[in-house]
Amino acid sequence: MQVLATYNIKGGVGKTASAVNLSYCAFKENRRVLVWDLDPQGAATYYFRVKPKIKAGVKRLVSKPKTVRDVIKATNFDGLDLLPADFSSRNMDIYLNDEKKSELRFRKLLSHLAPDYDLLIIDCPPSISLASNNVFNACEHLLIPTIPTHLSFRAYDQLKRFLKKKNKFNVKLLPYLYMVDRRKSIHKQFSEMFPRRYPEGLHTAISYSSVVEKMGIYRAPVECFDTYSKVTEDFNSLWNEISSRVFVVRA
Amino acid sequence: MNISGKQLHSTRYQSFSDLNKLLLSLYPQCHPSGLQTRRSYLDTVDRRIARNQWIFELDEMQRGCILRLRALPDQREVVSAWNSFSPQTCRDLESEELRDKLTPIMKNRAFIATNTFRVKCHIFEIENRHGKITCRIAIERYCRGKSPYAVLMTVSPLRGYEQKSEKVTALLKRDYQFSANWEDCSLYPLLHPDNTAPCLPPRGEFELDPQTPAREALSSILLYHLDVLENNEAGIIEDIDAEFLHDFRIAGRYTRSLVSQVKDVYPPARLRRFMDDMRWLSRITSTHRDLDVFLWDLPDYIDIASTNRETELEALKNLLMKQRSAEHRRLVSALKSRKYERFKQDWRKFLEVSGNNKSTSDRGNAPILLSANLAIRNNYRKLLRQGRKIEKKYAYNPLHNLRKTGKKLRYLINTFESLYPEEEMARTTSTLKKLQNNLGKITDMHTQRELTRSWSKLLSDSGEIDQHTLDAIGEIEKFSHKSEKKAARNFKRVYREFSKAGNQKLFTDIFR
Repeated sequence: MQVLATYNIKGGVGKTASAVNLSYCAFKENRRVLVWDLDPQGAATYYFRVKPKIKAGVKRLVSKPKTVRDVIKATNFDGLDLLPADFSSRNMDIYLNDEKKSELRFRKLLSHLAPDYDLLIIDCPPSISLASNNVFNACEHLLIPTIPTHLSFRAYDQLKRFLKKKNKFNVKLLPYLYMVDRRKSIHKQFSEMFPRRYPEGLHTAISYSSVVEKMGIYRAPVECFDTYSKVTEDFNSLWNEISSRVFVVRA
Repeated sequence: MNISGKQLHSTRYQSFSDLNKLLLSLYPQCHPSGLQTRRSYLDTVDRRIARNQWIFELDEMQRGCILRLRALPDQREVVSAWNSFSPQTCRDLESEELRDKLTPIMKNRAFIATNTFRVKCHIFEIENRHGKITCRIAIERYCRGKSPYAVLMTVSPLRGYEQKSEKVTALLKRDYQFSANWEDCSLYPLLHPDNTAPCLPPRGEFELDPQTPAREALSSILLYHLDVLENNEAGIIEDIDAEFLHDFRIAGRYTRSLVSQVKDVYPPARLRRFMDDMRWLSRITSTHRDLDVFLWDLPDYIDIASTNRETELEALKNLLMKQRSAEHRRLVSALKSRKYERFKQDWRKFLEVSGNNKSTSDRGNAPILLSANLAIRNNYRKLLRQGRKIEKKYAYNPLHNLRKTGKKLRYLINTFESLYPEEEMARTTSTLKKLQNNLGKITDMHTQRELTRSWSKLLSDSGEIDQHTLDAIGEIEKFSHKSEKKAARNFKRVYREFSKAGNQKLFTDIFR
């Protein structure tokens, strides 16, 4: 099972929209996909029309990882499942701290899911915490949606410095441009700077579009209600690029 | 979409349109969607899946298929999985869970489609007030050709929403007299194991009367093995799976072994021609069988050899496949030949006449128990003699002969076991089996090593491969050699266990 996470220290940069739309792209390829909504806001859970509730809360999930299978819900897409959000995940760090090997609890939890899924995408909250350390230990690639502005690039640099300083996480960073509005000269400027400054980044950029905001009305991935939009095309291209890096074909 | 779940049927609602109307009346907000698929029910030619009280379904989809294993009698779904192509054998199953369930009962046998239907589905998705689908109900019309064969309803639960599907099922059963009882379903007669043609197992279980004249008993046994030979011909010719040839060869080995070990029942001069024919059959099938075994094991060797050897061993695999095709053509030609046809006709006639008429030899007319005792005792003593020599000085060729003697002994014991007390026979076969397993491991690995060496040379001479491939084949050879040596180290201990005084007494007491 490949584990990806959409992550950024900044909020409102497109983590949830990316997680939901990319998981849908993977689902269309007949992969068995699971989305884990780790954000207490529960936006991904809302998009998938699932109640944001886990029986006995995330505390039990952290202390008894084997129970993870009991709380997974099918979405309306047969083959795309959801580990829903729960408001108790606001206290995730407290629960993790109470456990042994507190930075490896997610990895243990996910090991119980490996036989059932080909891909797991974790939608992370905007924070840097014990929970995010768990994510860094559990996943192979971090997808980092980055708006082409100075502060976003700064936030990414902060993350890189943090990971380098810790020097214990093997996770690969895959930043990509999100909400790119080419009418804005600053977006254009930073978009041109991006590949030079971050050669590890993905080449596909997601264009700014109000269609993404309509996800909250339709409560579905963009492709389900606007098949021919630019954003749909962008997410499909992005997924193709991600999967070519993530799913390495054995020679 | 995978519509998996409880299948329900009703005598009251039997047509597609009746069920449609019923569901629309119960869930008027639903807008059914349509789906068509080809559904096949898979099993082995000898119905191992059905005999295990399972049904195995395959639904063809655009980029692969959905596989479902259900348990009878309530057709509860055991496993449901996606496969990117239609599987031929258990090896092709991508789901580990399915492989774990089916491999122990199927072993190397191929899947065949015992029944295939066009299935037209109408799928009703029941949503909650948030627009979340909580249950799917599919009406499935099974058609063969143009005629509808059966109409079933499947209530498919969604993960995390199982309660909803249970409520729906309960409602349909209680208020509309739907049943999940498989025996009432119109598909039942097609798929139940009792309604499928039996297949002859190669070994056979003979209930023998000890006083039956030897010629009569032996003839009936050999006629059974001739039936097994014929039974497997079509499967070999069509190349359905490797087990047809394996069973064919086992029947041949039993025949040769019984005729050569149970002596003086038939006139030797008459037998000579038939035994020549049986040896011919053994020769023409031997290389084919070796290739089947190696090709079956090749994926395991790729894992053993080291990483990334799959492409390097591709050249070897291609060579073996080419050789196998050539062997198969030769074998099919032999099975369709007049020589083979004449052999079968004459052998059958010989056995029927011998079975029904008094023999010219006293041994042939004496009770079968006497012949069986003598044959088993003689073989057992030969086994001990050969084993003692190897115990003193290990050598491969004598060990290979020991294995052959052991096989003959096992065939005799298997054939005549109904003549002896069950418990004692179980103990003798248990010790013999351990010895045979050890000898089998040694000789199989030795053969494997020789074969890989010869193929390596063949490939090397043809200039078809590079050094990487030679290295990869070399690793297989090394592995075979290592396994052979390991098994050979265990031989003395296993043989001593077999030949200890207690076992010897057991043998002499039973086969007096």
